[in-house]
Formats: sequence, C-alpha cells, structure tokens
Amino acid sequence: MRARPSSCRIAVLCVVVLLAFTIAPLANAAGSPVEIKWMEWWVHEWGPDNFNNLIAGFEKANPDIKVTVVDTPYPQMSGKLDAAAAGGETYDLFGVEGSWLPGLDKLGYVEDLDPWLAKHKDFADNLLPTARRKINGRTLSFCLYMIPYQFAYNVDQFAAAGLRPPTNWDEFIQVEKKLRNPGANKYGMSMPLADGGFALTRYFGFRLAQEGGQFLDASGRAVFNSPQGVAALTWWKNFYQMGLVVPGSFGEDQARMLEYIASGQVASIIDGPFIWSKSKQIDPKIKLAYAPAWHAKTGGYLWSCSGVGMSAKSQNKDAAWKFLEYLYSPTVAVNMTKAISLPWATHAAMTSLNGSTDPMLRYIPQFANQDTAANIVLPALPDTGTLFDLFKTTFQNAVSGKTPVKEALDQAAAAWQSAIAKSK
Amino acid sequence: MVTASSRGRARALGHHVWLVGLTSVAAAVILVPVAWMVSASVRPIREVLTYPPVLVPKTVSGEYMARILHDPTYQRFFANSIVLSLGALVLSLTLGALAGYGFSRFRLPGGQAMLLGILSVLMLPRVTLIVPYFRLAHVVGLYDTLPGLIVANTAFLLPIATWLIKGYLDSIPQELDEAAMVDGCTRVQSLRKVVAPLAVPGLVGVAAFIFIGAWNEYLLAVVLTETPRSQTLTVGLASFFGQYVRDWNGIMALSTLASVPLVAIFVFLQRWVVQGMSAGAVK
Amino acid sequence: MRDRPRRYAAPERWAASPGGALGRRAGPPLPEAPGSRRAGTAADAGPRPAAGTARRLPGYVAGYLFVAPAILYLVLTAVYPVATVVAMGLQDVTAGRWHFVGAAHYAAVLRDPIFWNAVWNTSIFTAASVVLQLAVGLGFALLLHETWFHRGVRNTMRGALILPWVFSTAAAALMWSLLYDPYGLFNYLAVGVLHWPQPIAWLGDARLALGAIIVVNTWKSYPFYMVALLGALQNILPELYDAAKVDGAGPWQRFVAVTLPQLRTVLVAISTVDLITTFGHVDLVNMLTQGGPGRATETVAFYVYRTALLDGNLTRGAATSTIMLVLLVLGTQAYLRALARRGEPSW
Repeated sequence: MRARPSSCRIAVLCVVVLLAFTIAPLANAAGSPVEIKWMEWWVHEWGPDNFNNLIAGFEKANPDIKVTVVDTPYPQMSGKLDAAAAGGETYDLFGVEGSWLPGLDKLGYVEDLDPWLAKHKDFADNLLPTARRKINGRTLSFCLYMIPYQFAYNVDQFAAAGLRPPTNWDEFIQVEKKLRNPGANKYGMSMPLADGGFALTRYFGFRLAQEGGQFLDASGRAVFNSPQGVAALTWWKNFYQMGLVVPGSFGEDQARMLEYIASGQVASIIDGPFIWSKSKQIDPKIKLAYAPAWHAKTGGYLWSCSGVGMSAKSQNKDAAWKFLEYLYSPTVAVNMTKAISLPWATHAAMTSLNGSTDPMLRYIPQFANQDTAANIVLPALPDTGTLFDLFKTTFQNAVSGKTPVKEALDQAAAAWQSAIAKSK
Repeated sequence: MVTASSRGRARALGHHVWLVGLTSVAAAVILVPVAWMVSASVRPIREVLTYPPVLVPKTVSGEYMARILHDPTYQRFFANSIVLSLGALVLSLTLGALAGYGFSRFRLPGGQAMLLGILSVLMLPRVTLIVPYFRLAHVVGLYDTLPGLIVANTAFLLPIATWLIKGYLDSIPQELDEAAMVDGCTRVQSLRKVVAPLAVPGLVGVAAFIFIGAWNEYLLAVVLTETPRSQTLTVGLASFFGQYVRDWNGIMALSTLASVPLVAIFVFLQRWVVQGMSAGAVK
Repeated sequence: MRDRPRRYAAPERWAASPGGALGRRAGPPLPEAPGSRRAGTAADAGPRPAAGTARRLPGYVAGYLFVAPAILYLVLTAVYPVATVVAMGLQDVTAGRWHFVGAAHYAAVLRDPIFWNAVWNTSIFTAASVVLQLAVGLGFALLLHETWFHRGVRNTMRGALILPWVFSTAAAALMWSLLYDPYGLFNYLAVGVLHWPQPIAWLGDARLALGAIIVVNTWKSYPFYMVALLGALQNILPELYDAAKVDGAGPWQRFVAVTLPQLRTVLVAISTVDLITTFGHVDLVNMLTQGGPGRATETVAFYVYRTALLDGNLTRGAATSTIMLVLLVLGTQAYLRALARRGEPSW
C-alpha cells in the first residue's frame, strides 16, 4: 500500500485540529456550569453550615449552575454595592436593604422583577404580599424574611423576679417599673435610638399600627402625622420620660442593645424574632420568649424585612432566577425559618409556624393574623436613608421634649411627602 | 558627709523617681483599655459584659485565639497582611525617602504645589475614593490581588512618608551635606554617609507608621478583595461584625493576635537602631 | 582658612557619631557664642546653624530626579481617583445614565445647615485631637528620651505605650464603647464607687459625646507622635543643652529654646499630616455614635459617608468630598503660612 503523501496528512491534521478547536468550546459550553455570583452578608448570620447546605442543595438539583458566594461584612455591604454599581462589577444576586435600593436604582443597577413575577405565577402566589419591595411602582427586591417587632423577655430573670410577661401596653409599663432598681444600677430595657430606622420600626411603627394608623395612605401620601401617629409618639414620649430605660439611648446602637439583653444586664427588649438566636451567640444558655400578641386600639403589627435583588446588568438572569425559585421554595423556606428563627417571606413558611413550640416563633402567626387589616409594613421610599435619618431626629426631639410631638411629626411627614413627590 | 554634689545628686534622683512614677501611672491608665481587650480575648463574652465589670478573668481560655490560629483561612489572612505591609513599606519608604530628600535639599520650582498636591488623595474621604479605586482595580486587572492592595495602600501612605521624611531631613542642616561634598563626596555619597545615618531614627518612626497603617487598613482591604487569596487580617476582623451581633471573642482574640507581630517588630527595630547608633558613637 | 577647621568640627563629629545626641563624643567643645540671653541663642551656639534652614541648593535637575519616582507613582495611582470624585460631584445619575448638573450639588450642600454643623464639629474634633495628641506624644517622648531612664525599663515602656496605636480601630472603638457604657467601667466608678445617682451617658449625651470621641482618638493616635518625636529628639546634640545650661536656662527655657526649635520641622510635618487625616476621620464616629446623639458628633467625613452610602446619593457625597478637599487645601496653606518663620518658607 502506498503511503499517503505527507501534505495530505498535514491537511487532515489541520482539519482535525480546527474541528477540535471549534467543537471543544461548544462542548465546554454545553457541559461547563454557568456561574452566578451572590453577594450577601448572611454566612456569619445564618451559620456557615446552614449556608453551605443551602448552596449545596441548589447545586445538586441544578448541576449546570454554580453559585459563587461573595460574603461581605454587613457594615461594608452598601459601600461595596455602590462601588460595584458605579464601577461595573456585576453581582447577579445581592442581599439588599430597602434603604439602599433607591441609590442602586439611580445607578441603573437593579432589575425590575415585575415582569419575572408576571411570567411565574406560582412563584408570585407563593410570595407574601408584603414581600414585594417597590420603588415608584416597580418591584426592585423581594423580602427574604419578614420581621415583626414585639416585646421579648428573659424567661429566667422574669421567673426570678416573679414577673409574668405583659399582655398589653399597660402591663408593659408595670413590668418595666418593677425591673428598674436605681440602687443596683439596674434597668429593665434599653432603647437604641441612634438609628432612625429603629425608632421607626420597633417603637413608633409598632405603636402606630396598634393605634390604627399607617405610614402611607392608599395614594401613597405620608400620613403618619395623623391623630393616630400623634397618639403613638406621645405614648412613647411619656414612657421615655419615666426614666426606665438605660441612659444614653440617643447614642446606642442595636448591637449594644443585643449585648445588654444577651448578657442579662437588661431583662426585656422590643425586637424581631432573631433576637434569641443572636443572643445565644453570646450566652448559649439564655432563654428568651415573646410575650403573647398585644392589642391596643387594634391588634396590628409592624413588619419589615431584608431582601435580595437581581442585577440589571447580569449576564445570567435565568440562572439567577432559578436560584431565587429555589431560595423561596417551600422546603427551603420552612427549613430556613426553623434554622434562623425568622419567618421566610412565603405563605408556606408562615403556615409552618402554626403549632410551633419555639418560644419566639409560636406567636408570629398571631401577630400576622389577629388583625390583618391593621398590619403595616415599613415602606420602601425614595431617599429612604435620608428620611430614616431624619426620623431619628424627629423621635429624639419629641421624646426628649425638645419639639412638640405634633410639630415634629408634621415636619417629618412634610419631608417624606416632598421626597415622594420629587421622585414621581 | 553631705556635700553640695551629693545633695544635688539626691535632688536629681528624687526628681527622677517622681518622673518615673508619673510615667508609670500615666502608662497604667492608658493601658486599661488594652488590658480589657486582652481580657476579653481569653474568656467568654458574657463574663465581660457583666455589671459590675470584672477585669481579672475567673477562667482563662485560649480557645478563641487557638480557633483563629488553627484556621487555615486566618493563617492565609495573616500571611497576606505581612506581604501587604512589607510591600507597602518597601515601596513607600523607598519612593518617600528619595522624594523627601529632593524636597528637603532643593528649592524646586513648583515644589510647594507638588507637596500640597500629593496630599490631595488624603484630603478626600476614603469612602468616596473607593468607588474609582474599585473600578481602577478591575480595569488594570489587579482586583482581588495582593499587588493591587499594595499599590492602592501605597497611594495613601507614600504622601505621608514623603512629608515625614522631609520633615526629618529638614532638621538635619544642609551644611553637613555641603561639608561632605566639599570634602570630595558626590551628592549620593554625602546622602549615604552623612545624612542617612542621622535620619535613621526618624525613618524608624516612618517605617512603623507605614507598616501599622497598611496592617490595620480595612476599607480598601474589604472593597478591593473578594477571596482569601488576597484578603488580609482586617477583612477577617470585619467579618466578625454582623448586622445584629458582633463576635466579641473573635474580635478581641484576633486583635490581640494581630498586634503581637507589630509590637515585636517595633521593639526589635528600636533596639537594632539604638545598638547601631551607640556602636558608632564610640569613636 | 581659619574658618574651615571650625566649620568642620561640628559636621565631622556629627558624621562620626551618627547617633546624634546619644553616645559619647570626643573632640573639641563647640566655640561659644557670646553669652546673650535671648531665647534661641542656644541653638545659635557654634557654627551649627538652626535646623530647618531656608537655604536650598539650586540644581533643579538633580532635585527633580529625586522627586520624580514618587510623583510619577502618585500621578499613576492617585490622579484618576481624585479626578473621578471631583467629576462625580458635577454630575447626577438616574437609571444608570449620567448627566452633567454643574454646581447643583454644591449649592445644595453649601445651603444645608447640617453640613455646616458637620464642619463645626469637625473643626473642634480636629483641633482638639491634634493638640492633645501632640501634647501627650511629646510628653512621653521627652520622658522616654531621658538617658537616666534604665534602658530595659525604657524599651518596655516604649513597647507598652505604642499598644493603643497598634490595636485595630474597630476593636479599640468597641472596647471604649464598653468602657463608656452605663454598665461599663467608668460608670461603675461613678455610680458604684462615687455613688453618683445616675450613670453618665458619655456617648449618649450631646454635650459629652464629641469630647468622649476626642479622648478615644487621642488615646489611639498619640503613639504616632511619641515615636516620631523620639526619633527627632535623638538627633539633638547634648552640647546645645549644655550651652543653654551655661547660659543659665532652666528646664522649661531649655525646652523652649533648644528642643522646640530642633523639633520644628518634624512637628510641622507631623501636625500637618495629622490635621489632614484627622479631618477626614470617620471610623471612630461610625463605630461609637454614628454621628449621634442628634448630630452632635457628625463630622464632615461622616456626613459624606451618610450621604453617599446610607442615603444612596453618591454624587452629592462626591460633591461634599470635593468641598472638603478645597477646605483642606486652603486650611493647610493657611496653617503652613502661619507656622512659617519670617523670611523663610516652612515647607
């Protein structure tokens, strides 16, 4: 047999190589996973094990998608997000607070999620109605977990002092008076008022809901300076001036408040359900419990949340959406709710709390359902950060008596109204 | 026999004793927070957050520091911090010494403007500067790399190094340079033989400032990195600060551990410099 | 010809004993200036002129060569970021589209009374911090410089006294917030020991908070001065002190007449740098009070942080940053001019 001429062999070789170069990338593309980046701050919060299991569960069910988690310390989250938004780095999904959304939206960074909800009815129905965070009518973020605020107490200290958990606002005052012991420098609770958002949710917002008021009316106008709002803020002013809370409120932040309750230096607190799991990180043996649902003029509660958003510049939106579907799926929602003591923002998660024996979680369905019309949600506004910061001054001035309550609320409402009007 | 000189010596000794006493008391007061920080790194946090506060721990546990020392991620952070600080030190000190000498010994046209200009990056709040630095790091491909961190940190440390070295060199009179040069040295030789040895004590201070500055810098470290391959100890520290709760034991243990190399280097440097100087003094 | 040996005497001895003031020295004593008692003459004793001499050598090329590497480095690494921030302040962004708005942000900021409150707070914070750090740092430097201090004790003290500087700001701020706490050490002393009726809200009382943060800042940063000035003190010839003693100067006068002039250039350099960095300082405020209570501790840098990141208004934050840059440029120039000696630039 005659040998083929070498030029022929070279030609065949070239064709093979060429084919290899063209087919291989195609094969690669078909086989290699799509990578989505999720920037968040929750690894330490939820515990690395919980977190890794979460990611592993998704990747097992979706072998063609790889989730890269970029964990950033919470204090630097908003700065890094802003830098990414202005500097062009894309994080397909990112954890986000309502107050950061307007700034990121201005930079064109946030994907409008309404079209996605329209295309995926099941997902939309599964989500709690209060879980959509809208700016100017566009849903820019979903709440990941909902947070109600209610009175919680240290079970052992209450038992030792012979106190029963307060079932209404008057009993609350009685309990705090009994817990105050000037000789021993002892206080019943602390109120961190250095953060305007705090004052807005745990204190003013809570009482506002129970007075039957709301932040925005149906047309989106700021109406918290209504008689209900005035009543709510006046209640807090009277309480504050009784001198029952740890001094220095105006400079106290929430981390310090948690340290007070977790170390046993105060016996009570008004905060979200996570307060127990967080306190256990300082004192593993501490026992906290929620008081049963309160009722003033209404049985409503104030709800807020932290959530996730999708980058408008993402190249892998479908993969990112798949991850969101996984994140909000019933199994994951119920498991995470149990694991981190926070109700996931889905119906399935909320229902799973019925019949719970967890001292913090078992009353949450009560908070949600005892007076559904009176529940209010902290709105996501344009310029949220500024307005929340302004409210800090409003609250501090009102409770210290520096500004009359009605005047302070009117000023705040006017500021909110002008920000809302400007953004329309 | 009480002589005038022995009375004088006694007075001097008394004077010394109360000065030593004063210094010791001041030092003790200043170190109270440090003592607390170390105390909080060897016992559970709930024992730190008590009222009345108790400084001396009932039980001392090395577990918090051990947890960090045995964690490979933190070992990596530690190594990265060393590389970052050394890199920033070499770069800033070299460029800063040359520039400091130039500004000190020469009246350069535009020199005043340059001196003020190099401080401009320090005159802007760093929180706004991280936005362009973030983009710059991506554009030149140095995002999430140690060289990128070194370059960025040096941009903030070099101006200070230049100013400080210039200040030190200004206090060394130029007559010495000139004398050496008249003697036959070139400028560089006069720099090496005359000026540099005199500047060494000052350079120690500048070196300490640069090293400690790069070691404890956290904003650039968090924003310009993403993975442990370039993250430093400050990122490890920042991750102990959560949204609702901060891991006191982790924070204090890590801070205590992170401060040990700094103090060791500083003490060693001081002793080495002093030794070098006294050796040369006996002539 | 007679002058030359005398001019060499001091420089030769300098070169032979690079330790400066430390170490023993041989050689002829400095020729004395006539015994005038004006402050500053001790420094004029002998052919060695006062430090910080104004005479600068010409020879621009060599000078530029020394300076060029650093300048080039900073041009490459700092010009773009600074220019970007300044440019951002002139623009606004909606839905990802940037457009030019000229001085709109600047007008808004300069009209904002909260901004001027921040400027006021920052001025107090900066001035008090720098003065206190200088005083404490210089005090310790002088104390630790005394040669009669046993060397082992001295080294231990130095190592111990730099500890505040060495610990990270985050950890230090956290610990200080605990010390200042109503349940913390200081209030334990006040309420538990001194039987004060109520704990003092160091960080929660608008009148006290800024001072409390100034104390923490001083504690954190005085070692920088101490270390820097120790280095400078080591270069002061003991002969100058001896000359002053012969002139009859007491310890305070020796300090004013010999030490301060010798430290002058270093002090000017450190204090200028410190003024600028303290003005832009945000970490302690962020960790201790977040600008509160009310706005009592809100500094310009914190105002920028709040505007740019917490309020999501990056462009307005950039405009405020540029205003701060301008303020600091003007302020630094004024500061240096005020420190200049007659007929001589101080920088």
